[in-house]
Amino acid sequence: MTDPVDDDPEYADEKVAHVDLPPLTDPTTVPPDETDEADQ
Amino acid sequence: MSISGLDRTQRIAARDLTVKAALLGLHHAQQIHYTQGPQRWEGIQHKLVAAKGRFPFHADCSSFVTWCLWNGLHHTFKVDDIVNGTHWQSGYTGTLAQHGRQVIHLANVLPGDVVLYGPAPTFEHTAIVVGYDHKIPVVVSNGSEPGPFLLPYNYRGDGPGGGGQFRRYI
Repeated sequence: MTDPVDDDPEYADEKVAHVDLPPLTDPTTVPPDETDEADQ
Repeated sequence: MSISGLDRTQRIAARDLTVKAALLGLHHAQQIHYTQGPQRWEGIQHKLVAAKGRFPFHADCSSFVTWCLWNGLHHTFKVDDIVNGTHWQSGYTGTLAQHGRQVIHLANVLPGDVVLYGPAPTFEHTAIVVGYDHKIPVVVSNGSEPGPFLLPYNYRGDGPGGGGQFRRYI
């Protein structure tokens, strides 16, 4: 399934509960992400 | 029909379970060690259910995202592996990219959606949306040993709008 989901009526007006989140991390303090690799 | 086959009420529950798994990992970041070795799948292999307070001690970005979605889709609703297509046994950004459906517009992104970073078709990193901060999607990202971190989705320049994309599996 590669077609975008944006116009799919199945998901129209889907509401989700608000989630209280802790403070965000300052992105400038985050080490570079490792590059993901396929399983060997 | 939704991507997962779940109805709206089930999807809302699945998103909640997925997000709670991600936040459990975030709250235990110091106990989660980054690895790309086989231990990264222990969350699913050992059936570590976030609702019971259990989480993997080893994970990388894609196994962490997959474990979160396994909590939302499979543990409660027994959905087959529509995330990586490997019977919940393996995966990486390349298999994540081959499943689910893309979300184009930022306003349509929902908690439980996934961000793929880097160049298609295999991409290089992934994180899971857990909510919003001033209408900007916020992700939990496990891309290095100090993680997981809670970050705005665009903390890297190669996310959606820069070669990456949002994808939905729920």
